Amino acid sequence: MEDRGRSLWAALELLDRQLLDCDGTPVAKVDDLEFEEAEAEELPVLTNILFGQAALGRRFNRRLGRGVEMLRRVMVPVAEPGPARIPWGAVKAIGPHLTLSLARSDISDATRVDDWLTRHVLSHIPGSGIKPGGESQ
Amino acid sequence: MKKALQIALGVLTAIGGFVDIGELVTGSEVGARFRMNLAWATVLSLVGIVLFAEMAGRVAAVSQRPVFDLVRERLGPRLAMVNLLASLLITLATVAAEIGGVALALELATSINYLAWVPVVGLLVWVVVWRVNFEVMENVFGLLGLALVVTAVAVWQLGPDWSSVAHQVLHPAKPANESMASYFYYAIAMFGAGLMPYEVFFFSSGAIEEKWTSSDLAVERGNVLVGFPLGAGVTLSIMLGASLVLGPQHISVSSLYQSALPTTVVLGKWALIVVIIGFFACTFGAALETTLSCGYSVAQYFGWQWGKMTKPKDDARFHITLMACLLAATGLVLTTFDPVKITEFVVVFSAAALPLTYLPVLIVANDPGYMGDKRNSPFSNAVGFAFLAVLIVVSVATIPLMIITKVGG
Repeated sequence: MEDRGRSLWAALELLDRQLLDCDGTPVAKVDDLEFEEAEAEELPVLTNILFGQAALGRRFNRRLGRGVEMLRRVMVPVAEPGPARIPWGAVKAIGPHLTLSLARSDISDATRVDDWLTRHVLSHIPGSGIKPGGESQ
Repeated sequence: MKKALQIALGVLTAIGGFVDIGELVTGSEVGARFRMNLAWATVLSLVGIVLFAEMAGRVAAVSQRPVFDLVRERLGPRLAMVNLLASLLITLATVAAEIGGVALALELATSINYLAWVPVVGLLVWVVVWRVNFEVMENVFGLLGLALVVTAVAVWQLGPDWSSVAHQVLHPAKPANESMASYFYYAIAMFGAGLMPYEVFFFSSGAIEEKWTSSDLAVERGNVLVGFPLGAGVTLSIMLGASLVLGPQHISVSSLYQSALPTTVVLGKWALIVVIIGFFACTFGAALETTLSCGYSVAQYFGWQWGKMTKPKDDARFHITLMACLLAATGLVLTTFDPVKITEFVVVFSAAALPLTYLPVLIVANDPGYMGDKRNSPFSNAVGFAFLAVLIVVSVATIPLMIITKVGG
């Protein structure tokens, strides 16, 4: 983090911003932020960026968020997956967008839906350049 | 030299972007009913689209942020979702109207009923969106769209009484047989036809697809300042042609054929061919732009990877959204909803929906954190905020006028 020591209004300067990967490719939006409670009288500490429809759904309505989380559980076979998250430490730069030090292809939660649609839908459409099964030609 | 060529090509793009089924239908209708007494509404929409597109294009080139990205960031998820749904509904209906327009142009050329052409057109639009290179797409349809300049030739051949035309333009008055409410209702329709939301979504996202940066701002201004006025010129010739030929005969415009009538009456058969090519190019070009705009706005709201130039496997959600929108729009035209009627609704709601998209762009264009020294000048701010006031008045007046006039009376 090169911005250490700068003060930011999380709701104003972080929420709803675009996340880019280390090559400048769009990854997701900052749909929500996760804080950890600190010792008494200390401010909470920002730990994770939450993204994806589960995180966004929760901001609209708690029930809607729950529903999307259930759907996510079908795709991600973990007991309590919750919304997709990226650790705050992976953020490299903060500006009009947030740039990550990771590559999009390494964030499986960001590519899961695209991968699924590529394998099951696009690969059947002529001219996609994708062999059924998902391998690119 | 390369810059000049780029501007020339961009100019062509802008003509196709400004003139679409909205101008063809509403321009003729307004010309026939109100003569040139509503020319001011087109001029006002020209000022608006130049301001709006210039700001959105500049923000995109400098900060790499397209319009719906800003909408989400500045309005928050809820209000931005309301905006997304409204814009998507209008743009989807516009896709339907443009596809219908292409099919009607093909009906004019072949005498085969437009409904038979609709699935063919839908498929063609998809093939271009799916496979054809961005620049090729823009240039082909921009160039062909220039055919519409023939409408200006026709007006010049008609030899109108220019002093009376100038009087109608400069001292507009409501024709005696029309109500005040209808006059303003059609003013909003004409205004909305020039300022459809997709034009700005497409322009700003296109700037990013073409990898514009701060050093391309001259090209960006060139596109906006030459292209859109040319488009408005074509619109005014269509309006004037209709006012000279259709108005005196009390022909009301209910099909695309009547929009072509003034030109063919004066110039004959060869002009009909040229006009049909122009109609085809500008509606097909707009069908592409509107379809892409649906995908752009959804992807930018959710933060997905998007772009016509990206490999489909990397932005599967974007490409599937495009297909779903195209399918929905084609389905809508196939239900035999009259494309001309759809257009009449779309242009009016376009005007009403704009403030929520315009405001975030205006604010960010002033933010030095995004724009550095490329932010709005005091002059463009003065005009920009004055125009915001106009947009709000139009937006508030739309629904009441729609009810009073029973959709235009």
